[in-house]
Amino acid sequence: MLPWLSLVLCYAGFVALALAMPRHHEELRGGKPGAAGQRLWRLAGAALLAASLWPALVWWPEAAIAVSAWLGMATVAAFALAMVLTFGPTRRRGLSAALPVCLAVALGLLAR
Amino acid sequence: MKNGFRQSMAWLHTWTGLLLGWLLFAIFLTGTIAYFRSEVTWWMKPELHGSVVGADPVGLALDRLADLAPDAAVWSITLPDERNPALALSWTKPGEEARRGAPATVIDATTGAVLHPRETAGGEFLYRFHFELYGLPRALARWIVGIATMAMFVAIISGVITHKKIFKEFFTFRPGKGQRSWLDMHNMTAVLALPYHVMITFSGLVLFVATLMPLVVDRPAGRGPGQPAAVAGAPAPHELPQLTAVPPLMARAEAAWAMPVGRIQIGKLDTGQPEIVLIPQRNSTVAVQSGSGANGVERMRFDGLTGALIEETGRPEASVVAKVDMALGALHRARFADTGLRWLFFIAGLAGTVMVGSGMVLWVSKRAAKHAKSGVQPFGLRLVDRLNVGGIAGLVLATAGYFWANRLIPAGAADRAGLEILAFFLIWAVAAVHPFLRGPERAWSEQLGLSAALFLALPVLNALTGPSNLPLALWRGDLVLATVDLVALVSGVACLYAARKARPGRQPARRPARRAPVSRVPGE
Repeated sequence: MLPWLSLVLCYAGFVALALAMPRHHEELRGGKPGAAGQRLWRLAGAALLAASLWPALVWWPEAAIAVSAWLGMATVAAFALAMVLTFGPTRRRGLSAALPVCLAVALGLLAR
Repeated sequence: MKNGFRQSMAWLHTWTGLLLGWLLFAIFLTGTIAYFRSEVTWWMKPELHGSVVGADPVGLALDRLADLAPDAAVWSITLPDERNPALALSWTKPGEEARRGAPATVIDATTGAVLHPRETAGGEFLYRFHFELYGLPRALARWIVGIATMAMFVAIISGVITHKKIFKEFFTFRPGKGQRSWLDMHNMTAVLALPYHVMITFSGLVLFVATLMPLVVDRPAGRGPGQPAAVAGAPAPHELPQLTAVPPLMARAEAAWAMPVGRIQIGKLDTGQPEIVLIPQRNSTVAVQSGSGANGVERMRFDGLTGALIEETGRPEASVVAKVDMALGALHRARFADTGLRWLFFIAGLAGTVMVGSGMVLWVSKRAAKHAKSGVQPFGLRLVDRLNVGGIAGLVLATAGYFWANRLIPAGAADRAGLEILAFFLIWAVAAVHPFLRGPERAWSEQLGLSAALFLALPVLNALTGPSNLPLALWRGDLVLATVDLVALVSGVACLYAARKARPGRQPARRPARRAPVSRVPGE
């Protein structure tokens, strides 16, 4: 269960980082983020990514394995977001950004 | 010149990439599949698919060993696990040297009947190919792959400098825009899996250093149980000792390791003082010596009569340098990885494969755009354009064909494994010539289309030529078989998508400005 939590937190972190970038902010929410908003999103993204390491460290007994697994999950999460931004419906993109989270939760419950 | 450094890096990136791109693509694709080489080998032995693991595989194995090899000195049982559901037995007679890699006897995990799987090159061939190629002297092949690995390392570093926008356009992919899309795909697969690319390339390099220069590395003492002392003359027949119950010993070891037992060795059977050695399924830690085998390095040795613990050998003490060396080797081979982690490595490996492939296509698409106005393509461009088809789509096709060859070549054929490999290279060779006859556009879509058909029909072939099939495997919980079939289906859909995108009719009329296919996730 914990790896799935890690994956979801990674994904949330990348969504926040994307919201800090003007181009992706426009796609996700419309409009541009202000300077303060940009800093806030970046901070939130960094915090979420840092938090996503924690479940991995608990789940895998060895830190080296946990970190390599975490990097792998970050890759998958970032790729999922890229797919949402590319192929998600142009309208209601914010909503489609939540889809991978639902998928991960469903798979996590299934794999339990 | 302000951009001098970046330009020279771009030059380096372009030309190291082009020179070794096809080889790197093949290394990445076969190496990525090799994460699942046990699973592929299992799929390729349909004679085993009827075997379903019963309640007490250890008891069954011991009973069968008592039947099959009552006079042996050492028994070895490889237990079914999540990667290889086979229950395999092997033994050595008194005075006989234990042979590493000797074929084991696989038994049906329910009935105990001896099974006779076909001879197959299996996942092992793809694994070996990714660092030793095939048919070349081993040292030469390792040098070639070693140089390619070095070039990959250069390409990664120069690539990060060249594609300066990769961190700014982190999540950006713009499909259907020709060269732009290829660049996006190249950048995205590179940057999103960058830690993996650096890790796999650097550790690959270190693995080659270890083979080319004998490093002083502390190896774990003793692999397996003590060898039976060589006895002169014919071994005297011996009574089978009354062994202690194995499951409690396994429970003890599994609690200590937090890892299931993967292999059981029972030695010194002929001495009346048997010993039971338990070996974990895989390593639970990164910094231990890991060969190319499957099990972990820890051992627990018990008295075979009383069940008392004699000795426990764990992770060997090693210097920091040796530990780093071992950790890199283990990371590269994902020896410690559970199934979930293996999937993450597999996905990152696919990203690497797509990165190399899209980089090669990008080289052509950039130059084709430049020469579009003149309408004349230089020889080098036309050559690379055609070689790309065979190097990328051709290898995907050959891989699909390899799986088909496994089932179509009669199970009893002589040198069967060799024939499978021959089929792989024949298909690849034809695919390499094909674009020179048909032109690159048609060749892309034809080869990808054929790959799609082969992959999509693979589960059907499996059902027709083996006792199990995808629905049955899912029903029985044979996830190994089901996974290979499902990955084949996904690969088939990806190839179909790419083939449709590459269809000649969908491209602009003028050849040089052709739009290359947008997505090509290499199969399997």
